[in-house]
Parts: sequence; structure tokens; C-alpha cells
Amino acid sequence: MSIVVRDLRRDFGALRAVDGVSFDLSSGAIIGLIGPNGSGKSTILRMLATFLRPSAGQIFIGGHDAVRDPAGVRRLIGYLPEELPAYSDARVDEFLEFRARLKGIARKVRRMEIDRCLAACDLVAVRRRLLGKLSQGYRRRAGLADALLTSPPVLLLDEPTIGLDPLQVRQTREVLRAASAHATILLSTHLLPEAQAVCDRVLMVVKGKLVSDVKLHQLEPDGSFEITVRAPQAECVARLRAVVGAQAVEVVRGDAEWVTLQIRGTSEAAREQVVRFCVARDWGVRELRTIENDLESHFVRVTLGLHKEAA
Amino acid sequence: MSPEAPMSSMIPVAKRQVIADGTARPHGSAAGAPHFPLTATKRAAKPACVPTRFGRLRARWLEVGEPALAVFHWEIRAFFLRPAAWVMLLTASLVAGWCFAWLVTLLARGGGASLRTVDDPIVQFLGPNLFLVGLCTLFVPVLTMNSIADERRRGTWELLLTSRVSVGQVLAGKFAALWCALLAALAPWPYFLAVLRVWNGKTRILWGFIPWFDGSGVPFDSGSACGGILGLSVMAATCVALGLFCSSLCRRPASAALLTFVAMTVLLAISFLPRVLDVWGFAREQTDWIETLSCWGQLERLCRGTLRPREFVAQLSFCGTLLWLTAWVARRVDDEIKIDLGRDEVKPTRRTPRRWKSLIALVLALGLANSAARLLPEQVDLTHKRAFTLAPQTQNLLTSLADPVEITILAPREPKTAADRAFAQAAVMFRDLVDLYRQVQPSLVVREWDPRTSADARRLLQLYPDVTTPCVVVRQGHGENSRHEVLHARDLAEVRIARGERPPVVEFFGEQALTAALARLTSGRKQMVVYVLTGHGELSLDDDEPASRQGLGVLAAQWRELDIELRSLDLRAAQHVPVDADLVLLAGGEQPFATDEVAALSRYWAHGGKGLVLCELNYDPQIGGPAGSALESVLADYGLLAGTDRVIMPGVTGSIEAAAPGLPAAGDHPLVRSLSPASVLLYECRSVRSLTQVSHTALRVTPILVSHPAPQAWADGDFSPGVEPEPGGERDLPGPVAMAQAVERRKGDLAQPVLVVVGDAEFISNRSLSQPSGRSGSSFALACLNWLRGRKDLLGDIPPRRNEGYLLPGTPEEQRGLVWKPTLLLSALIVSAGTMVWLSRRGS
Repeated sequence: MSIVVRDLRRDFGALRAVDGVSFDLSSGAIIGLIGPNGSGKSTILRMLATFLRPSAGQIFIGGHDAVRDPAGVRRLIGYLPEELPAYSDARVDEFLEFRARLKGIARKVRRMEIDRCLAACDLVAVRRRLLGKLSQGYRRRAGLADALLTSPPVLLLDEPTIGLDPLQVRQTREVLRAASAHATILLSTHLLPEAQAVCDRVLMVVKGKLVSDVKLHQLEPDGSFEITVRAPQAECVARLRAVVGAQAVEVVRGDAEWVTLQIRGTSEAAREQVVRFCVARDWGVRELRTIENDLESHFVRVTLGLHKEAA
Repeated sequence: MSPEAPMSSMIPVAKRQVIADGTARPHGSAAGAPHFPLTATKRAAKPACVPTRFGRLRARWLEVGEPALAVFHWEIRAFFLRPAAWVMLLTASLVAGWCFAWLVTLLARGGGASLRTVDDPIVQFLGPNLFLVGLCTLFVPVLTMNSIADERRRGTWELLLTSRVSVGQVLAGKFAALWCALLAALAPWPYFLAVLRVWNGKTRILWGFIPWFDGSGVPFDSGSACGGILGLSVMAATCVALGLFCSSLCRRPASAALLTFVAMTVLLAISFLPRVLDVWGFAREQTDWIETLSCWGQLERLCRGTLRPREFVAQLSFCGTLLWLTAWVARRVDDEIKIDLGRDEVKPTRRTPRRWKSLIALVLALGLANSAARLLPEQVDLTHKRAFTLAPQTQNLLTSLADPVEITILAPREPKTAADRAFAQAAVMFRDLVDLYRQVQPSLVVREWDPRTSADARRLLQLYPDVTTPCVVVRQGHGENSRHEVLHARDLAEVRIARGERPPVVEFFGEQALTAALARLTSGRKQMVVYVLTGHGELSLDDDEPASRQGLGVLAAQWRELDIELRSLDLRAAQHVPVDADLVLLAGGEQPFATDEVAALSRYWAHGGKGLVLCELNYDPQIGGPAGSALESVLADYGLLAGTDRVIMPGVTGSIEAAAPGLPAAGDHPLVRSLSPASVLLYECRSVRSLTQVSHTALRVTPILVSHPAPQAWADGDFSPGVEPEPGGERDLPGPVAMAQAVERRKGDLAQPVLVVVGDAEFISNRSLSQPSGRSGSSFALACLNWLRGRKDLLGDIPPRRNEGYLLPGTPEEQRGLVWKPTLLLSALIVSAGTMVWLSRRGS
């Protein structure tokens, strides 16, 4: 089930929370919506879930316009809001029964569907407990079980693993992976390892704008490394550029004695060649460090870049 | 569950819905949801069925009704799971019990007969009394504060609105649930009313251990009680809609409760506003529209037993508008949640409202409903005794009114004298009556002036010197050409106090009086000619002396005011009754009639003439008893016998009184029904007996006035000198004795009046009519005249409105039991149910 967002904008009075966000999501993937606190992630999800109307822009989910046909969109989505379900005087299965009725599940299969979701979220043991007496983690899982009712083709999850213990986080990831076989999952999180662990694609939102849209497999290490040697800086740079190419070598920092160079996009053989070259020239090698190309570094790089641009 | 287990494996194959492409998915799941291959190809080969009408309806219901019903169940369940709800219900039952104790105290005092239905204790119990108003004003905020504001606070509002349910469906479910919850809190009122109806406090024990009712309770008009329950429901709906609206405006339950409380207070103030404006001198026409807004006023009217469709629909429209506003405001508040993002502000974007369609639909629907309500009658009478329905002749008369008529109530605002107070009581119900008249004929002008302070009132009194205040002046025309009628308190109502087992009774005959007055004013001055027989010592037309017992001048003057011409007729000279005679009046007489005279009278009556025969008792000292008048044979032809006796009724001291009161007889004879309930004082009245061996079967003889029953009164036939009358004599007739009879000649289904025979003539003499009690005599004579004349509209053939008081049976101990036993039972049921719910949830 595809999600198409075009030039989405949302103003709260004088504040612009979401500013010109556009993206296309194809079916059967887990997409992370990451960004710092207050970046507009939840607002985007709320608009996708039809709780908020966009100030401008278009949202299409499964071909239904979220503004003109919110009912059509609601039939396609399962939504876990950031707030936990707080019907404190309801039991877990009563809550799910109510939600199942709202979602139009026929009475004959309602019980089965609830049992399935309870089992999926490991809530069977607490199904007769009051929501108000459950821990935050259990309540979040109850919310997830609600989102999973009717096996919707689109799941919109706002911070689904926050407040869960490590084991529960792992279980939730498994649930999401299983669900992604038939559903498009868009989850928001500010935990980058969480996004890295579960998502196939990440949309980065900063100050209401979509600043990055990357697939995680594009973030695999590319052989870049840093080397710190004791050598004259100008000579060192010139000779290493001759070895690995002029575009690959950049000076990170340097003083009269030591110089740190960053060598990007090279192969393992080039790394070995550089070390041999330095040793052969009798340049002392103090540190050799592989540069990781993970989400966190990508995030830091992007945000730092934005800061630099703003400055 | 194992984390590795695929989710699809958790869905049982047997419960999957078959779809056309040979795959299955859970019923209710989305169209784009993954499908699971069927294990049985046989099912996949089944051809797709065309949905039936029932199937389509069911699908539509699942789409529209089911979510709203789910919200309703959820809210109701949430309400009854809260201990606070049971405390609320218990409080409501105790308050209702307290209110019921107040009602029982009122009934035990023997009160209840009121000139106005609004003063009826049952109406006051079910209507907007202090208990009910206070309870609703406090309960509605508590009940509705959680509906939307608390959902927002808890974050569940967002979850709710992103389900497959619209705001309208959510609000419909919530509204219905809160309405039912409030009705549950108000249910003790109808419960206590039902208890009062079926039980009087006496209890007996069945089979030695089961307590059961013993004896029925107080009967009351179930129509107005049903109206009251309907009013409670509408009032509850309005309050809940108001509470929902206030809750939608807030994000905190406490704010919502406070706002709802203020709104409820405003609603209450609106109900009182017309009364305040009335005191400030505003006309009722100017304040009527406020009544439409007041749900409490609506409740009061429904409790009285009147349903005004326009107001009812307006009230429902108010509810609908509030709900629409709630939906609109709820989304507006959601859309404007402000989050401090710590960023630069930008110019807000103005968006076009997207609810125009629903607004137009709402306006159209409400406009249509209110227009349709205008086609309905202005008022529907729910009472069994039709207390708010005008008689057909009144309605006919009002619809045929061509000239403007003014009805002016001349009464002091602050009554000081007993007459003022009596009139004020009658005027209270008269105003309600005039409202009914105006509903049929809006051109009626109604004014109310204080004769002490109003210059207009003084001008009116100068114009009509015969008017004495307090009274109602009914006027047609202007200036010197105007004509008028005057109605006093005695023409409008009479209160009978409770006696023994008989409850107090209020009889209001204002409709009779007012309709008759209008008829007299509007029917034109058709002259009636009455021939008064002379020559036998009858009352004389020429005698105007007020103290005269032989004069008929006072009555003649009154009748001439009504364009009734009275002429003397001496049959000894005329030999026959003139052809222009509408009526022959025989007012007493001491000498017997000649044979020719009797024959002339007999001929006249036999050919359609009419007669008012007032037989005097003539004592002949020569024969030592009553003398005959020679009319006995004629009267016998009409099945009547004027007895040679006199009706005796000893006074309080035991002395024999010369006068005996004649009371309107029982039955529904038009003449009887038109009579004022006040008794007519008759002097040495003869009994007028109905002969059982009437040869003429086409005649119907009906008693009109009767004496008190024996032993209080009897007809004494013993005229022995020096002997005190004693009941039980050989020629005596025990009471109640007929003192006047009416004779009609039947022609098919029609009955034509012929004669009214009264055993006394002195009650219309100048002396009698000059006394304060003489009014009843002249009214009676006029009623007989009009009946004989065949003018039913003038008669006012309209039954009086009778409000009987309630008589609560049982001893004081049993009456106390009537209060505390049902209260205890209800409270125990609520406490038990609440405890059971609490215990069942406690384990979770």
C-alpha cells in the first residue's frame, strides 16, 4: 500500500510545524521517521492518520485522499499515537473489543482477531488486567495490538518502542518485521539505533522539513578511514594523493609534527598500500581508524551541515 | 508467542472471509490487507452472490450504526463501572425520596385542588422544582465533563478519531450514553410516581413472609404524568447536549465542569427571565419567545399536560444545533493545539471552512422540521380530562369571530380584600384559558389593568358605570357603539373544601362564562319576546320596588338588558297566547286558572310553545292546605306533578328554615351542565315530581334542581296548624327531592325543550334578586330561559373544568411508610448493584 505525500505543510497558529514535506512510500517496507524532539514527526503522523488536517499539501494513502476522504484512509491504517491508551478502568481485552467494534470487525471473528493481536503483542497473560494498572510498556503493547487489529495495510506508529524493556523492544521489532510482509509501516522515533535496527528506509525531519531520505543499505561502510602520521603535512598530502588519487585525501587536522588525513571511498588494498607507503617513507603511524557510515553519523553529518548552512 | 512466528499464521483459516478472487481475509479488514490462500478450492469456486437488500442494509448498519453503538456501549459501560456513578445514582434517589416526602406531606394535608394545573402537587413533583433543578444543575457538569475534555487529557480522543468512526458517530454514541445516564439519575422521579399510583403505604404479608401491596394509591392524570416523563427526557437531552458542547470547548475536565455549570445556570436564568420581565411590565407577547428557549419552561408545560409541537421541535433543534456545534468546535480545538516548537513564527494560513455542507444540511433539516411543526396544532392536550382543550362550540365561535374583541382583566396587582383574592385565584386560571382562546383566535386582544393605578382602567370604568372591579370585561366595538359583558369571580370558579372522605374540588366554569359572553356579544341582538301571565296574583312586571316579594321588575330589567322583551299576558282577555311569543312565563299566582286559560296554555305548549312555570305553594286557610292552580292536569300531560308539599331543610340550630337550597342535579343534561354549581335558594318550594305513568312516551322529564338528601331535607306534606314539620310523615317525600324539572319533546334524535317547572317563584322576586345570594337565582332563570330558547351557545353547554384534590389514604404511619419503604428499597438496590460491580472489578 503506497503512501504519497506532496508538499505537506501544517501551521499551528503562527507556528509552522511541518514545512513542505514530500515523500513516496512503497508497500512492504518499514520506514523510519527520525528527527530531534519537536521536529514535526508526530504532526506528520497525525496528519497521515487524519487526526489533523494539513494546512497545505496532499496526502494519498492507497489512493485515498486523506483530506477529502479521511474515512477511506482510516479504513486502511492502524495507528499507534504517542499517547498511551488511558482507559484506566478498562481491561485489555475490553479495550480491544471496543476498538474492534469501532473498526467494524464482525462479531463472529472479533474474538479470534483479538486473540491474534493479544498473542502477537504478548498480552495474553494480562488480558484481564485493567489498563490503568499495567506498566507503560504493557500499555504501549496494548496500543500496538489495537493498531494491528484487522491487519491494516498501513501502520503508523509513533514511538512504538519507547518505554519498553530490551526484551520487549526485541519482540516488538519482530512483530514489526512480520507485519512488514504485508503492510507499509511508518514509524517515528528519535532513537537512531532503533531506526537502524528495524527500518529499511529513513526519512529525517528537522525543523519541519524533510532533510534526508536514505535507504539504510546505502549507509554501509565504504572503506573510508583516517590515518594520523608524523610527517610534513604538504609532502604527506601530495605523496598520498599520488598513491590513492587526488580527490580521496583530505586534511582533517595537522600541526608541525603530526597530521591527520581522511582517505575516503577506497578499497582494503588501498588502505594497506597507504600504510606500506608511510612505513616505507619512515613516517610514524600513530592511529588508523575506519570511518563508520551509520545512521547516527549520517544524522550528525546532516544536522551539522544544516547548522553550518544556517551559520 | 514466538517472536519468529509469522503473523499470518495466527489468523484461523476457518474464520476468514471468502472473497471473490479465491482468497480470504478477516472480515472487516481493509481491502488492501494481505489475503491468505484458501485450503479448500471448493469454496473458492463458489460464485459471488449479489447482495440482497437485507445484506445492503446490514452492511450500511455496520458502517454507520455499529461504530456509534460501540461508542454508546463503551460510554455506558464506563459510566456504570465508576463508583462515582453509583454514588451519583444513590444521591439522586435520596433527593427524589426527599422530594417525594414533600409531595406525600402535601397530599396528606388534603391539598391539591388548585385552580391551575401548574399548582397541582403531582405536576410540581415532576416539574421544575428545587430538588430537580438543583440536581440537574450539579449533575450535568459532573456527568459530561469527562466526555470530550477528559478524552483529550488522556489522549484517547486522538485514538478515537483516527478509527473508522466520524466525529458525528462518536458524538452520537456519547450523547446517547450520557442521556441514558442522566435519565437513570432522573428515573427515581417516575419510580416514586408509580409507587404513589399503585400503593398507599399499607403492606400485607403473603404466605407469612413476602411483603406485598395492600390497597391502591392515589389516582392522578396519567396523561400529564406521561407528559412530565417526556419533558424530563427532552430536558435531559438539552442539558446533555449543552454539557457536551461545553466539554468540547475545554481540554481539562475541571474547566469543562465549571463552564457547564455556568451554562446550566444561564439556562435556568432564561427560564426565570419571562417572570422577571413580567414584573417589570413587559407584555407576555414580548416574552413568549424566551419560553421557547427554556427547557425548564418546556418541562413545566409538559408536566401540566400540554405539548406545544413548535416549542418541542424548537427544543430538539436546539439540541441538534448544540451537537453540530460540538462536532465543529471539537475539530477546531483539535486543529489548534499549540506546540511550542521554539521556532520562528510565520504568518498563519487562513483555511476555508469545510463544514459548509453539513451546516447547510443542518439548517435545511431544522428549517424543514420547524416549518412542519407549524402545520401541527399549536398545542396538544395530553390530559385525560382534556383540561387544555376548548369545547367545540367555543372553537366554532372563536373561528367565526369577525369583529375584534377585547378581554380586559381589571384586578389589582396586589389583592387586599377577600373579593380581590377570590378573583385573583380565578384569574390565574382565566389567563391560561384566554391563552387557549388566543391560540384559536389570535385577533383576541387581552389586557390586564390595575384599576387603582391604570388610567386606561379608569377610563374603561367611566365608560361602563355598571362594571364593578375586580372583574373581566369582554368588549366588542369602540366608543358608544361598543357592547360589553362583565364576568366576576363567581362566574369563573368555585372552590369546595374537603369534607370527610371527599377531596377538595375546584370547578372552573370560565369557558362557559366567556364563551357565552362572546356569543351574546357577537350573535347580534335578536329580540326575544316573553309573555308573563297576569291576572292570578303572579309576580308583577310593573313592581320595581327592590324589597317587594311580589315584583318582577328587577329580573325584567336584567332581561331587557339582554334584549328580552317582557310583555304581560292576561289569558282571560286574550283567550290565546300571541303568535310572537317565544316563551310564556308563569311566575307564581294565588288564584286558580280558568278552564279556557288552561286550554289556551295547553294548546300553546302542544304546538311548540315553551313555558317556564314557577309554581307557588298557595295555602288556603279554608281547606287547611295547599290550593290547586288548575294547571295540574296540563302538567300531568307532560309527566309532572307539582306536589302539595314544601321542601324542608332544618337549619344548623334545628329550626325550620323558609328557604331550602336547590342543588344542580346529577347527570349530563345540557341545562344541568350549564348551571353554576352554586345552589339556588328557593322559598317554601314545592316538590316537582316526575309521574311514572306518563302516557306520552315522546317526552323526557329530567330533574334540574334537587334538595339535599335525607335526613337533611325532605318534602313535608303535613300542613296541620301548630305542628312542627317532622320527616317520615305519611305524605312526606324523603330527600333528595326534585325542586325543578325540565321537559323535552323528542323527535327522532332531536330533543326540543318544552317546559321548565320550578316549585317556587319567589326566588326571582325583586326581594330575592336584590340580595347577595340572588345572583344564583337570576343565573338559573336565565339558564332556563336560554335552554328553552334553544340557544346552546348562550347557555354555555360546556362542562366545567373540575380539579379534584387528592386524598391520600392511610394513617400517618402508613403515609410515612409510603415514603421510606420505596426510598429504602431503591437505595438498597443501587448500593447492592454498585457494590457488585465494584467487587467484580476489584480483582483486576
